[in-house]
Amino acid sequence: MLLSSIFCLILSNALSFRRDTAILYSRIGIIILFYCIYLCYNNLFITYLDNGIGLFGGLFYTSPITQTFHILIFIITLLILNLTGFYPRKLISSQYLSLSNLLFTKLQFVKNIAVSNIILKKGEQYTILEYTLMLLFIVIGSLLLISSSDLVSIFLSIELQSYGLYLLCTMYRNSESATSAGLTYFLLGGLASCFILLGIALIYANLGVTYLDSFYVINNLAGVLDEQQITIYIPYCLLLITIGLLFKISAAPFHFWSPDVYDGIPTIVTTFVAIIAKISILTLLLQLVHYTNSIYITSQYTWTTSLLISSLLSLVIGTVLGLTQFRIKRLFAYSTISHLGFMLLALTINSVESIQSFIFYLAQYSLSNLNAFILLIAIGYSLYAYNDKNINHNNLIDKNNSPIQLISQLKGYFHINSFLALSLTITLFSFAGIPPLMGFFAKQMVFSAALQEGFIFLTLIGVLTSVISAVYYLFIVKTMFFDGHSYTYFSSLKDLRIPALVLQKNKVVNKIYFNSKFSLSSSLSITISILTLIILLFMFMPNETLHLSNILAIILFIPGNI
Amino acid sequence: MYLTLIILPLLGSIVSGFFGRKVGITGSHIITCGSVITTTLLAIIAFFEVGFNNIPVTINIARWVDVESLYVLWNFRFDSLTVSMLIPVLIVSSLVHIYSISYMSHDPHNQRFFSYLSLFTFMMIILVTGNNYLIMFVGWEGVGVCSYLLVNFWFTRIAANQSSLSALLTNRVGDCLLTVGMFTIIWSFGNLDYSTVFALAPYYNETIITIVGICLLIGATAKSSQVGLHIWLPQAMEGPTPVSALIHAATMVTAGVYLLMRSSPLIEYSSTVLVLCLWLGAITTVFSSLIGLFQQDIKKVIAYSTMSQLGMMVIAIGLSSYNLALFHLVNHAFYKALLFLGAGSVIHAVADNQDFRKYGGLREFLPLTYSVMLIASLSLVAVPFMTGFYSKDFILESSYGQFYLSGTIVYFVATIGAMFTTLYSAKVLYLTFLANPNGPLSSYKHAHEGDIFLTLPLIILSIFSIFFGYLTKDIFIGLGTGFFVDNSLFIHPSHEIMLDTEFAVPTLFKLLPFIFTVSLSIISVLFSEFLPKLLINFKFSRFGYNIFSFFNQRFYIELFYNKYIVEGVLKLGGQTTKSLDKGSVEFLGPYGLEKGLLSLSNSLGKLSTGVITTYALYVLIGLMFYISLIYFSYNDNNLFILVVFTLFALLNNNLTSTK
Repeated sequence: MLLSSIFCLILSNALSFRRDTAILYSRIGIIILFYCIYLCYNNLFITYLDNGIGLFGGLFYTSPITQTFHILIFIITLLILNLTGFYPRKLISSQYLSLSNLLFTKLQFVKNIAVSNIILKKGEQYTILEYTLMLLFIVIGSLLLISSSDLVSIFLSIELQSYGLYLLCTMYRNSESATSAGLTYFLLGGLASCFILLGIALIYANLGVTYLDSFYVINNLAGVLDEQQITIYIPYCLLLITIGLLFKISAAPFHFWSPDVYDGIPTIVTTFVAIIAKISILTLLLQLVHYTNSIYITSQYTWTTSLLISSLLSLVIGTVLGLTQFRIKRLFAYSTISHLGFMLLALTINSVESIQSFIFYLAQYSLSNLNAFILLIAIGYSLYAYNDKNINHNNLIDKNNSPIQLISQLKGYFHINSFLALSLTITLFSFAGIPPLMGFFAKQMVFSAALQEGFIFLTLIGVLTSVISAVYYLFIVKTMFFDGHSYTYFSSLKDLRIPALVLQKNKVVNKIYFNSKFSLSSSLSITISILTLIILLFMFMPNETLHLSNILAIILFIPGNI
Repeated sequence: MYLTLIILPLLGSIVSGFFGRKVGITGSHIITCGSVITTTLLAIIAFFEVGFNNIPVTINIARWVDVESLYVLWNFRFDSLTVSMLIPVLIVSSLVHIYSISYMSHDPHNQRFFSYLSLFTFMMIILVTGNNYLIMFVGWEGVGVCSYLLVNFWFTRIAANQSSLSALLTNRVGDCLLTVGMFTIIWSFGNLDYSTVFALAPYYNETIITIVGICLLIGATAKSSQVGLHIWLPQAMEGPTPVSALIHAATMVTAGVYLLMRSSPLIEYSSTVLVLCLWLGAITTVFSSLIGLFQQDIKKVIAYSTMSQLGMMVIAIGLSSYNLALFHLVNHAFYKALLFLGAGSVIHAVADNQDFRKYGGLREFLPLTYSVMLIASLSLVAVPFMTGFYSKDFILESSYGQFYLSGTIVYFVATIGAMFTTLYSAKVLYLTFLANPNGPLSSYKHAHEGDIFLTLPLIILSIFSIFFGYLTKDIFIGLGTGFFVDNSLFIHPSHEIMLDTEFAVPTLFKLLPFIFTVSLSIISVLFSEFLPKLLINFKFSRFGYNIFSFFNQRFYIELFYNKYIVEGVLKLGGQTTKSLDKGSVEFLGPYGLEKGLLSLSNSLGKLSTGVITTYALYVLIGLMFYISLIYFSYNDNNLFILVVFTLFALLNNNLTSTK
């Protein structure tokens, strides 16, 4: 379905000449994704799904875990498309709010330019036709990656996803920072792909298999065979692949690209880049780690130890480096790195409880991270009517695409739009793991799983870094709530009156004036409010999500049991 | 009824304290006095019901602490000990309430005062009715706080601040040890419930019981102002006189004695604790009565006398005669409260002057006060058939009747204490009422008896001071009494000395204290009336001067404490704050952590240069690191550490050079 939709889109893309129809593509993309969610949900009811079903001659497989993560990816992509599928601001007039008016009359603005400025009709994100297409390609890559069960298909889907991401980063051609960031991403990503390819090649050269199932079988027999020649290579190969993957999810010490890239590309794209790639690759790693965990080279060392080291480094680097950041997207990048530390920790422990916590952590973190970025975008939109007195803020590079770049731009934002500020606060608190919010439960689950398996040192580090990272989250909160802001309302907007005609059957019935009262569009506000409420009210109905992750973890360990 | 008894004073306190503005002065008087008097009546009913009918009552209200092994309930118990404690506490409290109506009538903060008084009463009830050590401790701390508030009632006076702080801090020492004792109880007995602890006590190692007992004893020492931790009691006389009468004569200071009595089933099994009690009490008695003889402040003299009587009670505890201690406690509460209230009446009459060298000749002006003070003093010095006689003399006899060496010595020591008690009682009475007027004329012009609220409590208390001992002797310490059959006071059969005291003490020793009392009071009055020159000459001699100042300065104990202990502790605290709290902890903790993390963050941040080739280098280094990790784990872990260090050193070098 997805594929065929993409072909349709390519076709129509090629045929369309008008740049301003991009918004319609986004809307079509949303519809496609809705249908995909429905399909995936239906697939969950297939018999024998919990044992895993091989597809396309064993190149891919599907299991409840893959399907669930497919749905997660669809939902997130859908919400991201939502950002470009609708104009971000809207005008409100109390005269035109009745239902009959909305249904039976038509509104025509007299001064179109002012209106389109206000609702940001000419924003760059609405002129890029290929955006939706690219997004769907990347999503396909991620889906295939999640469900691939062959080394070759893994590589191919990683590349599909990665190339999509590189292109997406550079899609805003007018922006210098975005292109440079995209180039960085591409070059370094190519390096990482080399490693992955090297690992795969080594595996094939030594074992002669590309099919993951056979690989796992050899792995598990390795202890019995005790042939140094074979077994000694396996960890190296896996390590190489893992390093490639760790690079792609920007875990420390391979994280260097991510702050630069996140900061350089437009915020809307950052949202996507930061979230989707992580979900797919982490799910792949989950599978790899789970099935190869039992190989020991020496008595102390498994190759997953390197994952633990990565987790430790991510925790430390993510928190420590975040302390001195003043650009908010770099800060988010480091916060992502530190959260990756938690996920890697849960992943590596590989017990039922830890896998459960991993799945839950991944889901909740993706959602709250999404919320944080959407909030950032929304805050940028909402500041349209304000003039910033601070000169530093006005001279930022690429201000059109990512209006909020510095933490100091958020100063006193609470006094401008308290609801957005509160939502961002809740999200940041959830990042920091403040108790009644969702992030707390995730962290707590990771810690309890780690403690149960005896990872005391890492747990301690996790707790400490979590506390330290609270510093920079709280700093943002402090900036928003307690500092005075430097914004003034545009005087020209204050007494702007926009005339509009109300038409009924092509006859002018009424003429009304919109004053400059405008607000964020309902799509944005609904998305934000739903995500924030999920984070906030999770504690009242935690069962569904927790049971879901629990069942998935159990299925991974004891397939065919449920 | 029992719950009403507990809660009424609290309600009165809340109404008077929080809604004082609404109910007004008279309203708060009516409410607090009414609630406390009702409580008193209920307590008397409870006394009959629980005490005479031997029906102990336990009321379970709620769970308090319920963690794994520790289970503490909010429950209250009324047994014979509790109800006999409630009688003096509540009677004196309600009389003090009434007395305060008149005494505090000129104060603008009546509601606050009455609120504190009622709160204090409530806390005292909690203390005596609690069914485990923790509830007891709630009351214990509660009365401490109320005492602080009441002593510091005139908080604009610096002397009041000082003395209330002193009271609170000195009590803290005792509380600390009491808490340690409670922890020991939890640790060894597993529970704080009285019944659990007491039921297990016979089977326990004597050392544990001794440790617990000593901790409790030190707690009691602070609260009941025994020697060592006594300095707060005389200072606390800065508070209003009704407060002194209520807190520092009848109720709070007896809390320590109550604690020891309550723990009787525990400390009975440790002879060490008993001997310690005996000696502590004896030393306190003689020590404080000696100091009391040389004080000039009427309230301080009475405070030292209180201390001396508390010493008597502790002696009785050391003799295992807990019922005797309880009896003395009750009796003492009445006549000492009377003494304080009488002194308050005197002070009220002579315009708040407390120095009795400036009194004299007040008999004509204050006939009622004179008579009640006389009654109280007679009761205090144990003139036969007054209330004090029945308990105080019996304690002295009992200490002889124990027929141990220490008991006999304590008998003589305590008798000497009793002699001095007689002396200073006579001195107070003589200088205040009988001697030639020494005060300024203006104070005599206004000297007058108080109104009905001031005099009624005096009359009631004087009746108690005369008759209470006679009436209740057989209930408390009679040979065949069945009052304590509910085992609230436990006397080990081998420690029972009642019979010996009754029948084996030679008549001479039974009469000795009385003889001393009578002869010394006559001598002292004679001396001061007819041979004052002799006394004055003695005071002016070098030896007499030294003795006088030595005792007047309270054995220089305060000086010693201030100079050596308090100063040392202050210095230590200052050093700790400076070098530990603000110094190393701060440096390692918040400040150092912040600085360290920030600098680490900065130096790590320098790594991200934005140059792609550098990033590629980092990725390669990471790769090499991970792969080499496997090798190192093959061979030697130390090698790995070495490599890491080298890497760090190189990085540092790089960073510094780029700087």
